[in-house]
Amino acid sequence: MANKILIVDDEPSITIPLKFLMEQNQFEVMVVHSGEDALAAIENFLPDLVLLDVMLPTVDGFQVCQNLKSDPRRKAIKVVFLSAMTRDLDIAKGNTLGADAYITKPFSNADVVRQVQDLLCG
Amino acid sequence: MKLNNKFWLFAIVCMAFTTAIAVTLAVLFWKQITPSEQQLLVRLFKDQFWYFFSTGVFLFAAFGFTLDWFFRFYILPLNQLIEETQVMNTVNPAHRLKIDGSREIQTLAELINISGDQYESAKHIIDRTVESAKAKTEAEKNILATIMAELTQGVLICDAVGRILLYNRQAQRVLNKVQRPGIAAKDGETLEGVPDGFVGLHRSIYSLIDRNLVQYALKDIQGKLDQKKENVSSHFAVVTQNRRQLRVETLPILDEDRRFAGFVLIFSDITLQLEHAGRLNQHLKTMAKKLRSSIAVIRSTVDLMIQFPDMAVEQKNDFLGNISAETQSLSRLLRTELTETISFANSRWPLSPILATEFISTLKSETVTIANIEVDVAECDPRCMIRVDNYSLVSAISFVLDCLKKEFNSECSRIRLTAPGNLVQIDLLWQGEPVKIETLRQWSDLPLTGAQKGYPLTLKEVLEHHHAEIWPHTDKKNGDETCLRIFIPMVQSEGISENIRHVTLLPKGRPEFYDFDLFNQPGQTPEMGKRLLGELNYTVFDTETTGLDPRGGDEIISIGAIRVVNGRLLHTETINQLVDPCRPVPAESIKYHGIDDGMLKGKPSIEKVLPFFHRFARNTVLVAHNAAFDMRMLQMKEKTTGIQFVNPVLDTMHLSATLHPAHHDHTLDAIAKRLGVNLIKRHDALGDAIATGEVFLKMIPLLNEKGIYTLQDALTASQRTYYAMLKY
Repeated sequence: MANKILIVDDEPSITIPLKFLMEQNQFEVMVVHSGEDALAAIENFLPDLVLLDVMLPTVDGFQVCQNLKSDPRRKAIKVVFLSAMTRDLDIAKGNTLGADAYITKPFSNADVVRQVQDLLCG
Repeated sequence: MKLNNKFWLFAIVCMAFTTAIAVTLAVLFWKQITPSEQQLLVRLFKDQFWYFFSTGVFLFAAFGFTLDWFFRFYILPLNQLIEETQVMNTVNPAHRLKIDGSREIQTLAELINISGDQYESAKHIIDRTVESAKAKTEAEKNILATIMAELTQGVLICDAVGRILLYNRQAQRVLNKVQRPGIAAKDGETLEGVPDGFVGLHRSIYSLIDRNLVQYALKDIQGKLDQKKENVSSHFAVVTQNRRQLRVETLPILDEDRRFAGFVLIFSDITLQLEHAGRLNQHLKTMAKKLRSSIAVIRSTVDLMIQFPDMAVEQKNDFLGNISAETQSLSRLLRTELTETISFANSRWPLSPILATEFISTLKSETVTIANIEVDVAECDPRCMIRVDNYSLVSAISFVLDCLKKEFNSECSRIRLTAPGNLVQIDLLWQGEPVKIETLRQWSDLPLTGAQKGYPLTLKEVLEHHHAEIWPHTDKKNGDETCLRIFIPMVQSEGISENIRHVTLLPKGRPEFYDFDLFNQPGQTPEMGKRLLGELNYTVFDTETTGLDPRGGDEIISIGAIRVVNGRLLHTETINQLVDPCRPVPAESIKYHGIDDGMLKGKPSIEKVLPFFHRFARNTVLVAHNAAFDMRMLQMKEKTTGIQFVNPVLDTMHLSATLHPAHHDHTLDAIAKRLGVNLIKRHDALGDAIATGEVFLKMIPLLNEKGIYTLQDALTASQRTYYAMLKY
């Protein structure tokens, strides 16, 4: 059975290629564009990994991550931040919340796929 | 007791004594003569009673008239001679004696007047010499004052206890914007003539800036002096009520023995700089995000098109559309936002470099709640440095600990200092529930407690100024321990270049700036009664009223006041305020002071003016002419305003009666004429207050000659005068 990936980003221009990339690598993909939708999708879609942008309207990526990691039932779900916020401080904030990886934009498709595969298979 | 009464009391005592001696001698004489001689005397007295009686009356009358004549022509003129000679010799050399008395007294007065002429002429020569020397010094002072006035920064010099000794216009401008809640004019109303803040000679700096801030800076300086560091300045920041942000640099002044003699505060208004820096930062962040997002889309899409050349046409068109949209977005970014971003100048909040471990020590010594908890610095390089505004960052951390205690009932049990990469991390650890990001954001918008003056910064503002953030941390290794992590950017010690401020030493002898003898004065409030009249600070004031009956509903319509510091009237520190009495001004009263209803329309009420006057007069002795009346007017407003004047009060009318008991006229006009003071604006509150102040300053040496040196001496002497009995 294919691993499930939830892509959360408010910019459709990035979610289109990401969805295509993940599907080409045999993952089952769902795309949402806000933090609230992400929290709902986690309950319904039950992803194995979330590709999460930080700057989202209303509930941001950090809050989604904190929610996920503080819930004992869901804390096993892997979180990979995909963000244009690249200061040391931003990366430290993501890691502090328990994120499994923090990839900065722009990224190479190969790195994203390798990181996702490492987390899910390795 | 008045001289007149004293004399007649003396005369009565003399007569009673004489009568007692006469009666005693008569009794002795009566006992020595035989009974037949006694009968002869009784018969003789009875036969010649009217002769003896009229002789006795005549003798008593002659005795009384002689005494009165003696009093009027010798005793009273002699006393006036003494009092007026004292005036001539001390405060008014132009005064000449015009005394009605005996020929001898008049001759003596003429001789004294001739000596007075000679004294005045000699004094004139000495005064001119002194004036010329003073003018030279004054010119030097004016150069200093001009330099101070032209500085773009505000400069304020204080003595060791925080009293202002010197300030420039810029310091007054920036600090006068500091308004305290409850004292500031309400509803945007301004009080004409009443200063907003009180920057003034000999006032306390702590009435304008939180004492803790200054004390913190001084403690920091002391630490640097103890460690013999080259740079001894310390910085802190103040936010005024109208949101102006001031960077304050503190420098110590040490005397020749390197003891702390005072300090200099240098103020810079950095509001605009910070606004620019904030906007620049925001623009850069937005630009970087947009740039990275667009490049991410293009790169990812292009990679996919290369990797999967046989993708469906619709998919390929979608990808090409994506690339086209993102390149257009990048062009817009370069055209508009980059140009705007470059226009903002870079600036920063006043931060000082400090070792991270040293900061933690400061945090522990300044924060009671964490004074005894364990600090773990094992994972931090001891050379690791950060830039902080010590006071505000310590306050911010204390604030977080307080929030933690109040909202989570949790006490921080351990502090951990780590420094991975380019960030210093201060972890506040405890056993208990973690803090949600939402809660942390709510705390961030709250003002830090404990800031007493000016506008308190929020937690978010303090952290932003430090380019720092606070963040919940999930410790994967130790699940029971919860943590809040504060990230602070690390600085490289070799990159620090500060403007080094060396320690200022006062030269031996006279200090180089004027009025600085105040450095050596004792504290202002304790044991005020024992202090010399010449060294006290005074607020001389006068009120104009609707009438003379405070209990019958008469109200204050004008308050005038001037400060006296170091024996000088400060004409730059005055109050001249009209007050709306909320009732009509009677016509007979208008004739007296010229203030009518039209002039009072729209002026603030006494409830608004009195708190200002109270603050203006704080820590000074109040002086007024016929002070009992003015004080009663103020006292009548105690209930409605809640303002109580507890200052000691001196009355120039009482002091004049103490100094010149032989004179009957103690009105302000009479005293001013006697002491050679020109009255310029009579029956104007400020004009009368200035005249009273000048009269009072002339009285101080005369009081000293009478053995009245301290405030307590003056109050005691005043209470003994006839005028002290007057009630309103």
